[in-house]
Amino acid sequence: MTAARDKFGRPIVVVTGMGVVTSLGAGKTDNWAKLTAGESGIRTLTRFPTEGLRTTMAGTVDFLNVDPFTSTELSERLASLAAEEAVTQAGIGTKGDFPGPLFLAVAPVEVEWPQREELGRTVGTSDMTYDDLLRISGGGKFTRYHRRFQFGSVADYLAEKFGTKGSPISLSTACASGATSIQLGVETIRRGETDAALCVGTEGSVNPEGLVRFSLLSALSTQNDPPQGASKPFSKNRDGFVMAEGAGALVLESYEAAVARGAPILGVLAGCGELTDSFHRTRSSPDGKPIIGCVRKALADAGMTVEQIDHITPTAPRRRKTTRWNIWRSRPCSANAPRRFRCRRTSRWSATPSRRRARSKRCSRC
Amino acid sequence: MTETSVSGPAEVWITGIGLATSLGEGLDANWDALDQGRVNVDEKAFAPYVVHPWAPLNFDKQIPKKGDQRQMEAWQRIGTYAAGLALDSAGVKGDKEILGRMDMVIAAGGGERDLSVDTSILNAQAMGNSAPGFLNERLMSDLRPTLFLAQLSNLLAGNIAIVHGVCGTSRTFMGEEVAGVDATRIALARIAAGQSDIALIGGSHNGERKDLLVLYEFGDYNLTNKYAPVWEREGHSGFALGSVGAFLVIESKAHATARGAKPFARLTSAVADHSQRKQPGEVTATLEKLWSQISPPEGGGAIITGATGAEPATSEERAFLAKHPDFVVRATGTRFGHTMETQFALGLGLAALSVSRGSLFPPGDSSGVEIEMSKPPTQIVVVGTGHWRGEGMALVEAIK
Repeated sequence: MTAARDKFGRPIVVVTGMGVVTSLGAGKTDNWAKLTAGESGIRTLTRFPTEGLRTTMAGTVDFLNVDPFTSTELSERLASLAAEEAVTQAGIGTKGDFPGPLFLAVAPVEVEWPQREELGRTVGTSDMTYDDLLRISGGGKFTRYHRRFQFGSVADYLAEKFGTKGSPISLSTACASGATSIQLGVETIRRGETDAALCVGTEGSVNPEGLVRFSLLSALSTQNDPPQGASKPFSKNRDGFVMAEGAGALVLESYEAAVARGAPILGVLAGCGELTDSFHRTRSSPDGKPIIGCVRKALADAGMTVEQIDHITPTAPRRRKTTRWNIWRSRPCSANAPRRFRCRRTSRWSATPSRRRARSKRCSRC
Repeated sequence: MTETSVSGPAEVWITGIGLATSLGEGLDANWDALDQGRVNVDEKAFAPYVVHPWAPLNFDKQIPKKGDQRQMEAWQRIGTYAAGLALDSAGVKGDKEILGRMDMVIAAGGGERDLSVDTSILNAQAMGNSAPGFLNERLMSDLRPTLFLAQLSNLLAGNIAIVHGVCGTSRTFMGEEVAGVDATRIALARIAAGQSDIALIGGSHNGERKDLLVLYEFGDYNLTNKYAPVWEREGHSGFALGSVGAFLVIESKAHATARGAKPFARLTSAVADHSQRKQPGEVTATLEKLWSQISPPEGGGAIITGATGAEPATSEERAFLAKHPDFVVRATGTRFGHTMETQFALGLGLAALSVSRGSLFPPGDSSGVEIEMSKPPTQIVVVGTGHWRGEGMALVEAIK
């Protein structure tokens, strides 16, 4: 067993490049400066009219000029920017020749309203059916929309631009998609199939129907004013999540390959885990077992125990019910770790003798 | 199971197959239909477009709760049903211990629009309703809240997890035909390397969808007016959308033997690539490269291809097939139509079934591309060539 392998004998996976685009800006430097200055990227929507909507703010990326707008086009631009930054930082391969596969977390793709409206105008009558739309769709006039609205189209573009190898994978595991793209990269390097992988997640789906769909599921915050105050996943008065856009990219490499080419090593990806929550289509299991199991799998994959963890960066979808359990779950990852909660009144940390007490967030002295 | 095997790749078996198609439900019904040369095709309902309609069945048998059925659109019901059949076939249905750690890799599209909402909005706009916020107001009032769940690609996996309890891990790959190859490739690689023991792979597709016809009509890919076998579409190219749910349970030999499972076949290898298709001949060359990667043993066998009938991809694939005359060819598109993300899993299922039953189903046309196979097939190469992008291949072999 050499130093380039972990305790399970697998190649060690490291991060050598990172890229990020958010509603705050493009690139790590810009984002870090604004983030540490306390700036929020959530703002009142200006991309389209908001009359009739319950939610009128989002974390949109407005500094890229995508016209005519499609979410797929924006996702592609965001992913491309983030990947460019990551690949440049890693200094890997040559331009347009990335020596590994692409794993892309991307939203499902479908024909969008501006394009559908264009079809409607082409039909030109006011009693049209889908048969009429079908009749005018062929003949080469809208070939570009076939290309644009293929599920694989964003990955297709990125694979060509960055010259990634093999079949690029477009994936969706909902809010876990970005993590899955990284996990696919880790697994392929550990299997020895490649020395490097480009893992990208992208999201550009703030459009009227996208917003309405989440709104109809009562998933979005409606605290529109001020928009900067709407996203507060761990606050008592949270009322839903805030849609936002952006992209992130990582260049993963085997430690051995990174060292051999003198690449900067930004971090080690020690382990990852995933687990399905089959409780409900939109709600997570109230007992928290799936997320606890997932964290345990990640720790086991890394060969670590919960006692070795100093810091947890939780991501919560900020749904009213979900978040409570996310907070709750971050405690009992280890069977030995005491379940604790912080009292709402005294701010004391207490062991939880009952779930009821934890829910009420009152300690025994209250 | 995350440890990567250090003792060489594990052998992977196909131990479950679930098929619910335009030809019927279950392995026997599909096998008999293939044997009799039956094709379920509708030239009228979507005229001039040709589609292969779903064969109606009683969903209650695999999706017992009506509430679950109501939360899905047709493509998800088809898939959830077929996934249940695959679990039954593998003998793991209801086995909480195994299902609780079963990995799932699904190839899926999505969509399924509410056609009447779409057209009523377009018609209102045509009548001059162009006020800011008009679209918002109509969508807010007309869209069914649960429709979103039926549109999401990953909710096929979600429904399978909820209905059947497959809840180890869940990954959904999108990206048309090759997503099916990639799902197979990743699940196989993980099991072979010891990163997984058992997986459910597959997908589902509903061909009776006008919103999908619009998408493919943009590129003039739809087969129109008259049905013809895939190899007999000169001057009349394109695909007829099909309706299929196809799932497989694959697992390591060690895992299968430990639980006493009987295999249909071995899944030996799966590979995929992505040629840019800028020059004529790139698809042929890429398929040839993939062929050398899976290196089918000498002595011939069969090829089951998901060739679409769309050009130029199908002609390029035909050039590749012509270079391997010792392999007998079958095109699933002739029998089932084109089912996009599901076509590769369908090919795998039919390959494993043919190997296990010791005969290949008969030719689907008289073009000369498909000929009789007299000896039992022991190795079948499954080919998937995307109508626009993506190429893939897998080798299915008999277990002696």
